[in-house]
Amino acid sequence: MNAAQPVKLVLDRVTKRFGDATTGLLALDKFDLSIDENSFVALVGPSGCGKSTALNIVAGLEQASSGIIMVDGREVTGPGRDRGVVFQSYTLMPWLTVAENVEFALIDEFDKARRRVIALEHLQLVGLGDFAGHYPSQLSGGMRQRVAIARSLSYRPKVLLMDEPFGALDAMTRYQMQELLLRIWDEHKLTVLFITHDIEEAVFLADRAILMSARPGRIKLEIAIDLPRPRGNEIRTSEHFQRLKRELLSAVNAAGH
Amino acid sequence: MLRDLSALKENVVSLASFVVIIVIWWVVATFGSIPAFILPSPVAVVSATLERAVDGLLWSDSLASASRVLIGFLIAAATALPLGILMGASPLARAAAEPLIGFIRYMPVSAFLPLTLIWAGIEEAQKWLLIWIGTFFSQTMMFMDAVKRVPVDLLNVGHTLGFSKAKILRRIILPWAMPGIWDALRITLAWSWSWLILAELVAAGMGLGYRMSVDQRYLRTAEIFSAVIFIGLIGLASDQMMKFAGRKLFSWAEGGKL
Repeated sequence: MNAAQPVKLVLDRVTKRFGDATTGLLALDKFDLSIDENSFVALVGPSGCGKSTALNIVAGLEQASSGIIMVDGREVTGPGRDRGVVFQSYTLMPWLTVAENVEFALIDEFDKARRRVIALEHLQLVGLGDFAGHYPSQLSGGMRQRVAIARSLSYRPKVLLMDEPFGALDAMTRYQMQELLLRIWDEHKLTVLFITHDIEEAVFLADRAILMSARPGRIKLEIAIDLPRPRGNEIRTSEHFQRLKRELLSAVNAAGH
Repeated sequence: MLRDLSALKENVVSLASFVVIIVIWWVVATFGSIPAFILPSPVAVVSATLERAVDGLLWSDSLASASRVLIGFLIAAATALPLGILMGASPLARAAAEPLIGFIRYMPVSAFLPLTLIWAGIEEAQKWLLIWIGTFFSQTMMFMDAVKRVPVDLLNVGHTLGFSKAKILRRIILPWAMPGIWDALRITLAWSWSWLILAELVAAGMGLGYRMSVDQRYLRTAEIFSAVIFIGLIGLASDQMMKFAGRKLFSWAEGGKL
């Protein structure tokens, strides 16, 4: 981590209670987080720990009960194009081709020709340059998520929010997608908040892994992932990698989950 | 799972069931001791159809009926579309209108017939009104349903891209709902024919339903058979055309949406 990088995203005492204001389920309790520009932070935790709630609040899709979200020092209250989101479920528009799905993010921003150029650029970035004319139903799950990533990058959001984007993929595809994501991140320098329940995924991808405990969602452990970059799949078997993984795992077990 | 028949086998079996029914009908009508005004033979029905086709009555009646169906159906669709979409997209509109429309939908359409005569007389407007009453309420509910089914994650994509409500409606909700809307139109077009025939049987000076009511007075049963079958054929043809067009227009929706 580079200490000179400015802070990009801040969550300041973000609290979320579902239902009744005093007795409702406390999903997040005074949750603090700050992410430096161009750093990759993974939020890890068991399902129901509030990590997706945290992401939805940052994305502006859910309202916090209290607390503040800031991007570049400015408070955000609703969804906006400064934050791109890649969802766990497949969210391509099935009536549009792959290229049109990327262009979808650019409607009313550029003319048609310019949109197409940007779309193709980003499809090449995720290795789908040859699939511009295909429809989502003709693609595998991994390819659909790559298109979703291309769509999210195409309009240059300041922060990329990823909600278990590879959660529905098989293990081999997941490894490939993780490598691809790191390559894009290395080349383009992005600020990423990545939600996952997979500890290995967090260790492989992130600069910092933050382990959450459930009900209420709080930070249980935060570790810096000081593995060298660029990282390839071979790093997974290294002693360093395994030690970081064990550290997170033992904290999970201590939590009694 | 049961294995599907081959396409050829399926067609042969389907065709055979038609042939069997017609043969039984022909045998019973020809060799049974049933009077022709109760059960005319298939031959008599075919010749009655040909006669009407040659003297032109079949075509003028069909045209009169079809244009009534089309106009009534289009008025219903044009009024049901905005309301159904609004109800699908807005929980407030849904809460306001769904119980009322759901209730009206369960009233028998035929019971509105006397009212349509009082309100709209015996001319064209009365036919359109009965078709409208018979299809508008169901169409609205079906359109609403198609719109309501848009996955929330797709809507969220629109939100995170900073789309306005109008843009989400135009770019996400409507394209998603179109195949369902088209299907609802196809189904209710067939209903429109039923309501039209009902209206024509009661009051009209032209049209397939009117012709049947005259034929009934003169016990021209073969002509009535002919008209019933002909209406069925028109319905089948329009249904197949809509299905075909739907498959062409919304090929992306074939075999599940996501």
